[in-house]
Amino acid sequence: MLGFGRQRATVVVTTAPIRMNNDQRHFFYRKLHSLLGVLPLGGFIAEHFVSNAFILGGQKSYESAVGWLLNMPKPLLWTLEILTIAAPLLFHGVYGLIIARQAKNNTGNYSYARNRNFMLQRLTSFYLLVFIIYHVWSTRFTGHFTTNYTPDRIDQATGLIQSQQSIYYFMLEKLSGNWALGAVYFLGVASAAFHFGNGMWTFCIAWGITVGKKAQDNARVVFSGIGLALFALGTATVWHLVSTPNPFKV
Amino acid sequence: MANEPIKIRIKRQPGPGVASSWVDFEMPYRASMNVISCLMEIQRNPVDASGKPVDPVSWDCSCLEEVCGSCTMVINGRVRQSCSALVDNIRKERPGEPISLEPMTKFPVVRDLCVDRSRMFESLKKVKAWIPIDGTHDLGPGPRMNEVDRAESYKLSECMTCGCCVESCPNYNEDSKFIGPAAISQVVLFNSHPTGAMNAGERLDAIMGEGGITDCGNAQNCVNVCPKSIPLTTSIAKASRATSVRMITNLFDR
Ligand code: SF4
Ligand code: SF4
Ligand code: FES
Repeated sequence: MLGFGRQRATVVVTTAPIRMNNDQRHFFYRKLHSLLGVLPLGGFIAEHFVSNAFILGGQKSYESAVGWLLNMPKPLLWTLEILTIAAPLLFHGVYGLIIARQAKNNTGNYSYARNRNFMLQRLTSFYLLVFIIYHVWSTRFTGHFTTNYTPDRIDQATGLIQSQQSIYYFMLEKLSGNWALGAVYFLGVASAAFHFGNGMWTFCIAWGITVGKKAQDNARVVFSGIGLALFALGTATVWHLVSTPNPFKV
Repeated sequence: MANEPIKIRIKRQPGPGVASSWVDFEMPYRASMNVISCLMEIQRNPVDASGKPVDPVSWDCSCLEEVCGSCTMVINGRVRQSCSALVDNIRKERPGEPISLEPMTKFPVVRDLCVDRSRMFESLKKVKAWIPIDGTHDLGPGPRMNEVDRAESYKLSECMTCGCCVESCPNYNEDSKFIGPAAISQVVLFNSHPTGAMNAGERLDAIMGEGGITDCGNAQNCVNVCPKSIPLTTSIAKASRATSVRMITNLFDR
């Protein structure tokens, strides 16, 4: 509008440099969900299973394997935990639930192995969501990590750490002889290993890495193998904790 | 059992949006019957198994040789073409039980076994499953394709939009906007054609949104039920690769 008063230049401020429309946002979220499942979450799951398997070697073996994590300066540890575990997990879990809700499973009439795995991928995600909340709550937030772990308190003569300071004995106390909790953990391990293996396989299709049928079949062999290996490691770890008597138990 | 009368149980629905109910039919056995000839038998003599007169059953069919896709329905719980479903074979699937016929579940029922597959047509329109060559002047002969690509494309071009793949797909339903594997495969078909490739970006954009390529969950039922054995999961992976690359290059090219 032309007026007689002073003209003022209008300054347009773009607050959002990248504005996606609905479709672009949908595509981006789906891709992000898929990517986060592999990195960092898939990587973390593999690391978690492998380092926890050091439990099989007893207290020293376990504590030297996870010591680097426990000794890390707290702010660094927290940043890592939030950026590589908590935030991706939250997004992958919550957005995954939305995706799972859209499927109408039909394994009754179409009982192909792939279709069953498709359903299992969704079923395991429900269990994992509940299990992981419990697992994180009972170990990370109300458990050992909140007490001050100081490795220099190791009894030099015996090489052992006293019960309250030892993360090994902390886990042993939880699980030793507790077959019910062992079963809960076993299901968690099985679900995670399956969800990981199957997820890696579908990731390879969703990003166009394995295109032909042969390639997809080969990938199935590879990821079944890795999934089974993780399953075996995890089961052995849980078994060790459940079946080992807790010497500190009175 | 070979020459026993044929028992058929049909899920009937008098019109769109009204309740459906199962009705039993029975007819004498004749050699080499298919589901369509059974339905024709019912049309000639529209009485149910108890002899009560009923309205003739509606169904769609055209080519009778499994190339048009219009006769697709759910037979014994599995989606397929009724013209190529032979009574001798499908009776063996559920011995002693009647053959069950239902309309496809992923589309609105028009009447009895007729469904409205407009959603599939809309998907084809959305992904621009054609090559625009209409114009005011002669564009000359099209470019030649090499034989390997041609053979692959020929396979994809056999799709008859029958609906088997989307019927079996867990992610294709009334709650999702998924366009389904058939339309995705058509994107691959038209993008691999030398002339069609000129609009490749538009077709990729069309599947990079809600209901597009990311909504496939890799249950891979589609490839297992497709009567034309179209490598749908390979098409899906190719489209995934093309859209992933497009997403990444878009980040840096814009
Ligand atoms: S891809 Fe196969 S199952 Fe799907 S509509 Fe085409 S012919 Fe039918
Ligand atoms: S692979 Fe994708 S399109 Fe095919 S049935 Fe599964 S979810 Fe549907
Ligand atoms: S009538 Fe054409 S496919 Fe059956």
